[in-house]
Amino acid sequence: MKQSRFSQAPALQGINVSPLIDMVFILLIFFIVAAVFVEEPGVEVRKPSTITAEKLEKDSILLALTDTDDIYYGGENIGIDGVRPLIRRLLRTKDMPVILQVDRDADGQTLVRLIEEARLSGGKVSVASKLP
Amino acid sequence: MKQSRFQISGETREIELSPLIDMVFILLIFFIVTTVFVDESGFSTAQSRPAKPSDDDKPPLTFTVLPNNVIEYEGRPIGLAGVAAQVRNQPNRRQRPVIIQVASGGKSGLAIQAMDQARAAGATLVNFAKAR
Repeated sequence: MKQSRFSQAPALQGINVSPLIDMVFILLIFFIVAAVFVEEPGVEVRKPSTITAEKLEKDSILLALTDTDDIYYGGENIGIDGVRPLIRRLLRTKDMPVILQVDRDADGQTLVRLIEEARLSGGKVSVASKLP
Repeated sequence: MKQSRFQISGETREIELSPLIDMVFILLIFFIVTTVFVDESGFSTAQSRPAKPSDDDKPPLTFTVLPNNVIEYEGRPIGLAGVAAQVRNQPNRRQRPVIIQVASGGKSGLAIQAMDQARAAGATLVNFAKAR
């Protein structure tokens, strides 16, 4: 007797999950590789727009200077005096550049002081900006 | 007949995949949630100083960032475009150091944009400083 190939042993057939597992593994490996564990400053700053901006490194120390002249790292207000010990400690484990996310209404002299502090701690300092 | 429980249907048994898939899904979700795609653009402030700082025939071009979005050059207020124009007017602008001085109350957004204008006009040695 001829049987349709769609009706072969219909009760015993399960869904084939191997492609699903393959895909999930590929996604998993992608996210593991792409994961950069960077502490974000956790505050919103309005960056100034510039025309000569270039791409900055992904693996870096991100500090934010807000419009109220507070300095944030990892969601905490560390203050200007906390910058030097923090960068020293982080650079001891790994050499990373320092990226400053500066609000355009932040005090300029605080920015100058922050750049000096970060440079004195041994970091290569960049200022984040947005392209117009 | 008594059967050992390790021998129940020994031929047809398959490896149970569900816990593996569960675990992989949990790992996948963890990595999706923790992945931070840092995508910053900006510029480096690590400007190398000229080899011989005693070049008396090339004094640095000094722009002063004042409160209320005013930029001064030699005591005259010039706009952001004026910074670029001044730098472009120098015959040896690649070697000529530029200093962005920030006076008390000057905004960092304007200081960063002034640095950007100077760099766009061809200056390579641009530094921030505090105005005394």
